[in-house]
Amino acid sequence: MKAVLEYWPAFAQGLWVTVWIAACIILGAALGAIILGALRLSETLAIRVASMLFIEAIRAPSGLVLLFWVFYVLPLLPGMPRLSPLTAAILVLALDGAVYGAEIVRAGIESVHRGQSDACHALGLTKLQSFTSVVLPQALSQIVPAFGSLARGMIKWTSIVSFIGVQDVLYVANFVRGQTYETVTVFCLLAAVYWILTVLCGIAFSTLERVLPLNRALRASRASIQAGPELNASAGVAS
Amino acid sequence: MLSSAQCSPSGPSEAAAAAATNATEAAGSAAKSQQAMWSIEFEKVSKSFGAHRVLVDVDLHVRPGEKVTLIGPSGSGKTTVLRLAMTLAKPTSGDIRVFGESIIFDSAGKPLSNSQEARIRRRCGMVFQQFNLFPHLTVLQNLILAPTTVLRQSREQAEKSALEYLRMVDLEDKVHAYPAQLSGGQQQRIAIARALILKPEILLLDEITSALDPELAGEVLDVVRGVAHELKVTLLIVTHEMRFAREVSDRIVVFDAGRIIEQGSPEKIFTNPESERTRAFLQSVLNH
Repeated sequence: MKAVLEYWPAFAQGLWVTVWIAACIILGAALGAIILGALRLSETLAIRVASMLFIEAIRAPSGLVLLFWVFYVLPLLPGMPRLSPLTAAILVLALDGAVYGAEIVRAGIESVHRGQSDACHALGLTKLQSFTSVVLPQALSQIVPAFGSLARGMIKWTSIVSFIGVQDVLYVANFVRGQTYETVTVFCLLAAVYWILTVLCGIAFSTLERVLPLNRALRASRASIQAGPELNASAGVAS
Repeated sequence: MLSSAQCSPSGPSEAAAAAATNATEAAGSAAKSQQAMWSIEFEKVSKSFGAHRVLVDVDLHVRPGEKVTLIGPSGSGKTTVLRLAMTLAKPTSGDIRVFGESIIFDSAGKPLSNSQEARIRRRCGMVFQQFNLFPHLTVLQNLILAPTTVLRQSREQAEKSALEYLRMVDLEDKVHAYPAQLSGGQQQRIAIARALILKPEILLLDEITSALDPELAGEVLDVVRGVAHELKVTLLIVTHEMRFAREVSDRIVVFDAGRIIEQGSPEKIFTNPESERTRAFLQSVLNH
């Protein structure tokens, strides 16, 4: 254990890379998922089909295979750039997360009652205004819990980036294992690191769930039911 | 208490209406809208979902300020008429005009652009059977969303207006409540206020009491009676509340199997209907 701890600066550096990649791919996946999810529900058939094919194309191979293709094969094609290992890793994992997230977003949007869009239309809101002000805020209550699970999984996906030379925490752990031969200790430490990161991610998403507008409204409603009719009357709520 | 819609009721003859229509067509869309003798017109409108024909060659003309109630058995196409008028659905054939302007085609016969459609649609408001309030927004936020985003009103102006309409539906004390904290009747009254805040010239009410028990339905119908009495808005109502329909309407239109089978004054329809089908329908509803 002592020998392993001597390498703590390297571990800290590796951990920072892992956290940085995880943050980038989760944010990138969230953004991509909303765009792809909305495209999946486009009124234009061509856009719907194209987004579906794109999602299936990215979702089919494993992340590791995609990573090898983007990092090693893509530069061989004419006009394609050679990406740095870190850029390639973030790009591939964010894209992979986005296509899984897109289905979560699509399901979340479809869970919002059709009457909400009808009401927006009757009030004269444009499709974009309806989506941003009414549909998406409600859909987020369905999307965020599922996306939280995906995000936790994505933290663990980062472990494959060491295969193209990104010096994340797993890469450092393998290096330390080779130096110290303390395999069990190193992998126990790694398990603890991933456990802490995923728990922190879970707490972040639970906090986010609490502040979502629909959840806030439902909480207020539940509280008013528990408070009873007298208190509700004074607070301007139906008994 | 409230500023009402600008149109005033009139009672043109068929010939006068035809002459007015011709004149407005020549004068262009702006003039059309000012001179239109009908607030809403359905011309040979049909609507099909696959092989199922929901509306068949419906002709319906509603004067500005007129209160028209559509009655008929479930599935006879009443709600579809309202959804077509609100552009929530497109007719399979025929034309629909709001104050003389088609909501389907432009003057060149091409489908309307989104902005053209939105401009005409702004003259209509709709209240739904299931209220369709936005559950993540408070009552006040529900009311000011459209004025601030569609009409570009300032928040202060929209809030002031919202409070006036909440007072009208007697719910000004529920400003900060969420829809889930309100009874069904209160939610429907908020939905009516939300539709009225945009000052529509035509208000479409789609079975607004169907989801409510009789006591709560009464409070909603009281609000509609007030709207019908105080505002000069054109009302197109779909309801199964026959007593209310008789009391509030200028005209009753009876639908069956997607067709208008009879129309006339409430007195005529309820006391001396021409159609055997109308008589049977009224008997089944009133005896229920």
